[in-house]
Amino acid sequence: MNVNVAAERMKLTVDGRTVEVRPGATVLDAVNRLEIALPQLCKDHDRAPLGACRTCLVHVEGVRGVPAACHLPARDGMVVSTEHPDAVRVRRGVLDLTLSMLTPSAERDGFGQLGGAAERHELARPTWTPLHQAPIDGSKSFFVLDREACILCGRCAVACDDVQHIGAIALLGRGHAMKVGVARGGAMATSVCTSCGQCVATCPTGALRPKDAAAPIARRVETTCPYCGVGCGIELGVRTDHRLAVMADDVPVNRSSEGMLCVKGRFGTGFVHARDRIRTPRVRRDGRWHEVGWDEALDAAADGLARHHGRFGALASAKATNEDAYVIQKFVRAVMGTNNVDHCTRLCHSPSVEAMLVSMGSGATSNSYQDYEEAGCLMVVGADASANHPVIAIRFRRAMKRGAKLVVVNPKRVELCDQADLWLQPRPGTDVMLFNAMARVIVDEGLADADFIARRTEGVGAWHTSLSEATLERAAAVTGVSAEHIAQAARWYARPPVSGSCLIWGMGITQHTNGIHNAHALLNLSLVAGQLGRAGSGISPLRGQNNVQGCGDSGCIPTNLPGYQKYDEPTLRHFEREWGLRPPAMTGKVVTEMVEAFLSGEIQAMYVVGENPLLSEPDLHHAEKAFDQLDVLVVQDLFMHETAEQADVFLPAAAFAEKEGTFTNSERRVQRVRKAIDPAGDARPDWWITAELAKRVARRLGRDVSTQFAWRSASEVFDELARLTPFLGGLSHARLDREGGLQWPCPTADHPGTRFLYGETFPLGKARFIPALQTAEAAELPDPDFPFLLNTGRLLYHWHGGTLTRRVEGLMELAPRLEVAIHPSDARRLGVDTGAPLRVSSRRGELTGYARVTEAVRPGALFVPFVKLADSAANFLTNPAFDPASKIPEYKVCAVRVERLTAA
Amino acid sequence: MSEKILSRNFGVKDSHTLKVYRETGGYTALAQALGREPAAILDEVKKSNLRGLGGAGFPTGMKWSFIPKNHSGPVYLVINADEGEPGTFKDRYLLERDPHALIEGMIIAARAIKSALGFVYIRGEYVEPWRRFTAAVREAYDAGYLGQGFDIVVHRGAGAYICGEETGLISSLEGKKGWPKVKPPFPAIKGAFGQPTIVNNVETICCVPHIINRGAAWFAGLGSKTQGGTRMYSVSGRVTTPGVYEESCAITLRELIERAGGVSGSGRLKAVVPGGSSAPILAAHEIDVVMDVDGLRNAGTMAGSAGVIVFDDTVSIPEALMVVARFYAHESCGQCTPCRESTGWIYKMCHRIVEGKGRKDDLDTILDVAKRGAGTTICAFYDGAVGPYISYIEKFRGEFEALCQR
Amino acid sequence: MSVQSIAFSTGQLAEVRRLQGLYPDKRGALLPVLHMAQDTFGYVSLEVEEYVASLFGLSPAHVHEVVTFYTLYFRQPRGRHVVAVCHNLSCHLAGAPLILAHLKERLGIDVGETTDDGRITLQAVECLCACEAAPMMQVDDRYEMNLTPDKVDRIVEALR
Repeated sequence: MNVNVAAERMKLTVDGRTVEVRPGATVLDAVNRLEIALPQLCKDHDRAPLGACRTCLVHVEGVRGVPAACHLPARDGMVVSTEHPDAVRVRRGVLDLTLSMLTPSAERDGFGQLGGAAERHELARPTWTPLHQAPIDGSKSFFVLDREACILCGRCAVACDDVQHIGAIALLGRGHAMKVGVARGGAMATSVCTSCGQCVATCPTGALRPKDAAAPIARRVETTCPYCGVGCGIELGVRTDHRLAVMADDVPVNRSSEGMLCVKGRFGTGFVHARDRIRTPRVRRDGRWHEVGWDEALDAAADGLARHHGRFGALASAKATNEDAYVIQKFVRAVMGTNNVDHCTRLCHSPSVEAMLVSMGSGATSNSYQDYEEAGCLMVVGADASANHPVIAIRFRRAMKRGAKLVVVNPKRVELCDQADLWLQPRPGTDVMLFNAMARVIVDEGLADADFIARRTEGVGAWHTSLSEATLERAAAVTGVSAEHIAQAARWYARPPVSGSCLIWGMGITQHTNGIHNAHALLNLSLVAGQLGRAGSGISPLRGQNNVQGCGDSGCIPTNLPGYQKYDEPTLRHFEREWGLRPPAMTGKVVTEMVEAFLSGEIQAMYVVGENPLLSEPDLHHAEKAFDQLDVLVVQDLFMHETAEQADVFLPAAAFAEKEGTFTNSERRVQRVRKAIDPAGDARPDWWITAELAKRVARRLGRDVSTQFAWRSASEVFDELARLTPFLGGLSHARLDREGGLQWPCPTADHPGTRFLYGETFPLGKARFIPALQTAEAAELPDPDFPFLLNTGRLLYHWHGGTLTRRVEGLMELAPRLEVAIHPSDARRLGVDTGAPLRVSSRRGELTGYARVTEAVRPGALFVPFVKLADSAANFLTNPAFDPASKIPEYKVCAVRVERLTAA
Repeated sequence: MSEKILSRNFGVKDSHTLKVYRETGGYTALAQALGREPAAILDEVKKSNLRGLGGAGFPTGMKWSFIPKNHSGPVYLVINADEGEPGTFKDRYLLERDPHALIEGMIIAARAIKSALGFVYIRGEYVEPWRRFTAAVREAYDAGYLGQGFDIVVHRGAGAYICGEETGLISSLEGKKGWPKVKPPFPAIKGAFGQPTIVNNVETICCVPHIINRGAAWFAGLGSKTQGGTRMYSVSGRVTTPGVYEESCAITLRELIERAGGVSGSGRLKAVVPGGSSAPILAAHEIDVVMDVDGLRNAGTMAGSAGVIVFDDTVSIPEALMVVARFYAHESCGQCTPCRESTGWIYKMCHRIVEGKGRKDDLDTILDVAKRGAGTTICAFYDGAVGPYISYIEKFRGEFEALCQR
Repeated sequence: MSVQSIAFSTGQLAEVRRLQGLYPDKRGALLPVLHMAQDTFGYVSLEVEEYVASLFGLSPAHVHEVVTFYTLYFRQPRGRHVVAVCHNLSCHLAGAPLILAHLKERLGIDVGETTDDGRITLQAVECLCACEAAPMMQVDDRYEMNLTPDKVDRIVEALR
């Protein structure tokens, strides 16, 4: 086709008005462009037409009958009428039949879009009575399925299949016996439904509707989801009573999520309104909390912190904004005179980041989510994306639908295993051997990308020598994975059927004492196969928190200044010029070291923002003892939690929906966070609180910061961050508002952002092969006293420790208690069934939970999510032994014993 | 009586075997076709005036020509052997008694449209025809006719009339519910498994070897001005000798009924369904119509699948409509609201009328719903239901009114 | 049928793979494999649906949707023989209602039911496209044509 013709616009007349549309548009597009009210019950505005409802009927001059506008291609010169008597008469007849399907009732509230359409066609009462009756299915916690309000348009099934790739709901049967249902024809809750709500959002009649009483929505605010690192766009509904609607809408134009959401993003924002939000600053006196004003609280905090200049540490929040993070690190460095600032990456991906910095010079995900969909092979290692990054899992499923191979490496049978082309189940802690063996296959079979290795890497020789041990036979013996499967995975990864390969990993790789070796083994694999630096390839550590990327970018790490800049003289001088105060040149302590420093007295004051280390640290009993040693503890958060209970001052912070700012997601996309509602009570944005604190501490220390910490808005904070961080240099709130989220590096205002890294070069110049060694499988392995291997991780319905999700009723209903996954053979031996109460204990502590008998875990292994439910938390059991290089604790492996509890 | 072309071997013993097929001139057209360019074959079929014999009557050559010229991926040829139109049984005869004609026709058609893979979708109830045809395919592979650049997959349906609709058939072939697809895109552009696809009826493709062997002009001359060839008329109902009659499509309905031994039962004709149950009914005085696509269209009905059902004057038209309405209610796929809801409601009302519980305004309600729904749906199924709803009531209203006393 | 027994033999699994390989997308083989499953396990139970779904990497709901759309998949145990009487137009004109009434009386069951001895399931079905031999019915794989009550008796008698 001629390009000019394709670019041409077509001119149509609709109801006497002229409208232009692009080639490929339908008549319905033209009608909607003119905002003419034409019913379109089965048409989701961002999906292909289903053509099922037959209500968008129009008259077109020269065309016989009344075609449906939704799948009628627009043509230049077409004369369309939505008001032609034939079209109205026939459409009214169809609406009559449609309305006849439904049983009116008080809670059905006019049947949404259908009610409006019927009204416009003066259809008060339908001619017919419904052919079917059905009770409401209320088995899901957030929404109901009410078949008496269902017009069988099929939008829900498309949302479930084509948008989310879940496949829980379908249109069963045929003809007028058809109904929306799930496998086995049972209740919704018996299905694989993940409560993502995509179906609820698209339902035109309210047959699928949220359970909360419908309140009028005053306005809608587009922002970014506060849960995992995927960074989906969400649209918050603000009700006329100034509360958020239970259900958020998706944002089809968001380039990271493309209109997809999971249950937490869709329904999980209710924590903002939790009854136990702390709304007033508090100061502890005589062992009791006193509610005070901001001045008093900030002064109390400043008095305490000023006493410990240099003997201070801060834990920043990867949940807060880039702006919040930037202000914290500036306070720590410029005012408190230390680089002791860290965030939770220590507990998740520090080995990945460290290894990537050593090997390539940057710690970020190299590719975009789009690359997963364009890849020919996806290798997903130690990550349960379906539970923890559900929207990424959808991208994987979309890729597979297009023919990509999925290789899953996981000792636990995660949901992705059931869809994978190949599932490798290595013994925990044997990953290095596995990946080294794959690398050997790639080299031995001539699948290596010799050109890439020669031009773009160094150190291949020494690395190759280090593989000598990693024969297939030996790897099979060590890992428990068959030689054939190891080789197949290597071949698919190195030479995918089409395009490139993406390597994706999670905490199953990093939370080990040999985490950094694991990460290097993976990186070497990507280098030897040359699977990075082009579309459809790349390396991706899946980030757990909404802003864990941005928190590091903004400088909340002890090793680097904002933008991962080093403590070298020119950089320090540059920061000194900007800040008026010189940051210290010595590397600070990571959070696990800070906790140890509480015990030694090296650190005596601590500022904890949006984190709960007394739930997330390994070996909690030990951590509690350490925190006891602090002289001053200032906590800034939404809720009173385990750590806050120990604090001297509590500063109530605004939640994500109550402030302006930005988050940076796993694909390096900086996206806007927007204020939808006023902060609860006296709560304030974190950046404001930290700035106020900084000014007060500086005054007490006699430091002049009169020109600093003087921002009037989050936007001004961002401008300072962008000025000091070259790869963010081209970004501003205004630009992000205009263009939507952009991916760094984006150094200048006219730079479009960067889809994938390493296309031409690495920050280090050449990437380095770093030999990775298979060390002991884990610091603590099962023995006769503690015969089970405990694995920890997360759940779809709870987010991390559960501080937020425990405050969302519907999520609690979906996962109310701590479950201990146990293999059927072990369960048989213990004589327990699913639901039986269990006690799990390690050398460090114990927890109680309920058995979930499943083949998802191996015999001899247990899995417990690290969410805290009913006072039980997995981290009472875990081992604080850490990876010497990255200092990450070994959350993934420890030895425990399990016993049956007699029901109380 | 015209020359038997497609049914010439129906009476021959073991006509379904390769041996007999070859002995009676089988696979000679293929040999000829292999020496011709695809475009030349297409041209020959176009000139023959061959029209689709499954129901829609679309010119076959033109349909083939819709395959995009510059398409580089696979093209599929799909044979619609999901015979299901009430009153039609001719494809069953062809599958059972002359399966190699279909295979030969497919290989030639595939050459014309540059397809390397064909599917034959046989309705699930046709177990014997499926066995016969599968055996013939095996013979054709053994003899080297298949597997040389063209393969055939024999697919069994699972019981759904809608799979006879070409895009419903494609959905079903793809392993889904047999839901028709919205058009555009049309199958020739994006059909089975997302690739350009031609769906043809069994009988249509069985004509192709004869067109190649004896020429387009000969074939065109067998039929009417706008439709070439003979047609296999399935004649049933109240006739003396029901069966398949191969006749020129220039034959009139009156002549056709005579060929089948005339009206049985009372011997007095009341009405005829001329093209399968979806064709609007003709009253006794309308049977001088020519049985080709255009002739029947001009008479306000359609040639459809050429299934002719004869009613003598003892047949109750309201009862017949109830049977037909039950069928459409049972077979509506459920996708489009007007079809799903109307077929359900109209069957209920017809049932009520036959039970003597009808109301006087029921007839107008049925006509109103039927007329408003016509032409509004994704596929032609509902229009096929509307044909009988309207024609039975409008042509025999008195009979219905006699039953509606309330 | 116990859950454990729902699995194809090695040979059948090879046939499943062969069928899947015939189609550009393996899902095309779903209907044929469901036929195979029905022949093997007697009927398409919910467990069979889930088993077949696993062979195709499909969600069970998608298989359920397909199974409930078509008429030839039995979702309940059926009799050893299935007698399906056509009740469409030509057969209706030729006396199908009488044939059905006769069968119901003789077997002592209604349409859709199975005799107590598990011998016969009776169905009334739409056009089987053998109108030239109306009234007719399908008995398992066979078409039985030009029925009379006597002929029906003889046919049913022979079913064991």
